Amino acid sequence: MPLDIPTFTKEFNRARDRVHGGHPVNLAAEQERLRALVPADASEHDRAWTARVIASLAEPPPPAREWSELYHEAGRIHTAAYPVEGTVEEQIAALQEARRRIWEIADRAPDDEEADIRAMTRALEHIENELRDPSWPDQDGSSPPQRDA
Amino acid sequence: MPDRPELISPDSPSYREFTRLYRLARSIRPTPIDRWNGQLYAMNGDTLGGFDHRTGSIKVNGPLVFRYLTGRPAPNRRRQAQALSTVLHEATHAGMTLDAPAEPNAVRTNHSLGLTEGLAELRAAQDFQIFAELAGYPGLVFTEPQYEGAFIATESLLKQASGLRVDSEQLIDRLAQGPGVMHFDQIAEAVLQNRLAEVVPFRTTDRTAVRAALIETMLHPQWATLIHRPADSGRSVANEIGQALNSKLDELRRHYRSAPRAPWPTAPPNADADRAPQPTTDPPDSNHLPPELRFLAGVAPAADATRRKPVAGDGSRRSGHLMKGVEKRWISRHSESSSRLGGGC
Repeated sequence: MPLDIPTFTKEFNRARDRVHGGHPVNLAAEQERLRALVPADASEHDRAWTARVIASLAEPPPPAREWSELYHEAGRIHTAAYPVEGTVEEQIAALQEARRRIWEIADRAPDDEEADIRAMTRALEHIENELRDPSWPDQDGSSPPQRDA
Repeated sequence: MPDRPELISPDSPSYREFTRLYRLARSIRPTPIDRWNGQLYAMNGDTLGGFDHRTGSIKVNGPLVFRYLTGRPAPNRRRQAQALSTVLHEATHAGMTLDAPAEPNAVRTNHSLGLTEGLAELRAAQDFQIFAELAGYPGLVFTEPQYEGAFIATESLLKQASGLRVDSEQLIDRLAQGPGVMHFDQIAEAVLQNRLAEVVPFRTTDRTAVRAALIETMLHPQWATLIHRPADSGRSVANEIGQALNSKLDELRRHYRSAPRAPWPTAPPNADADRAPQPTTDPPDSNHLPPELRFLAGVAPAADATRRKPVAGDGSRRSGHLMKGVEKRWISRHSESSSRLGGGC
């Protein structure tokens, strides 16, 4: 009988959420439940990869990536640049200034962060494009719906 | 400027590996339809991938994605994980239809764009470990979600909606079936089942009205731009939605306890549902076609879709007003592509 991959996936995801959820759980019982979902005559490949993911439940969850202070500095500029008030021209000017500062930071960043920092400017460029060409045009002369409150 | 996307030959190793991974992605969380038309493009630039809802084609970044889909571990594990998760993300888009013009609780605005992108990325995160091991890329770790604002907001909203009757895995499964404009309604249904089942009668009119009321509380204006916003914005949106949802749940409980026979007075988000024709911009499902014909399916847009004018709402309600200016724009913009932005290399 072949492995039921969708069922195994959902049950594994649930078990992982429980094990890493911060509440006491019986790890061995969770692993045993998952092993029971793998048919005895499953393919060698399926038995191998399911064994690896079941064993991985005993390991701590992978840490989130750690970024340099330069990345966080760019992130603060990025977050602060989202227009909340002012004229469209003032908002666009603020976005352009933020992009310029983030590019400067990217120039000083380590190789493995440079592109990620530069990528922040792309989101700001999208917002700027939205200001220049809104997705919600004021078609009937009334005020547009609330945005970005 | 990025170069023009290049059509990948089905005989190439890149195409074969992508197709193998795409099928595995679908096997993990199957959906009834497969809208990928078999056409695969390579592109440059800093976008990781995209699914064209109008034609059904998929484009994937050459240097950032194809380069790492080799079938064996690459030295840069982080980039390889990003490449693999792009396949999961695009497979999620291709596994669902987008539009549902005749559904009263359809949210046919940019709000659904944000939620759909958040869902595709959340599904990629949730299924990544199984996918990587199954596909022969062992030990890869998913740590860098794209569309962080939309991802965080979607993850949090699904946590709020999940419960004993519908858990988060079931909810992701339901959302992955689409249509994209029904995602808010599907989440509202989970909230209804998990948190209101004892008080709301099992009548279609009541349940549709209650879901519409719940949807209204979830339509935070920032959904429309969350895909371009950082994680903090996603957390902020999710917190505000959580407060609004709790307040609305209290109102609904009070109403149905005092007047159980009176449906909650509300208006559906898609006021034009009863007037809507059936065409959509979605390409035909290519699942039923033999492999050689999948290249022909969905190449041309549905003839009516590009001509149909949006049915104007009456402008008297917030959601109706949104529809007035947004429907055509959203459908046309979104039909161009659901892109997965990347961090460059």
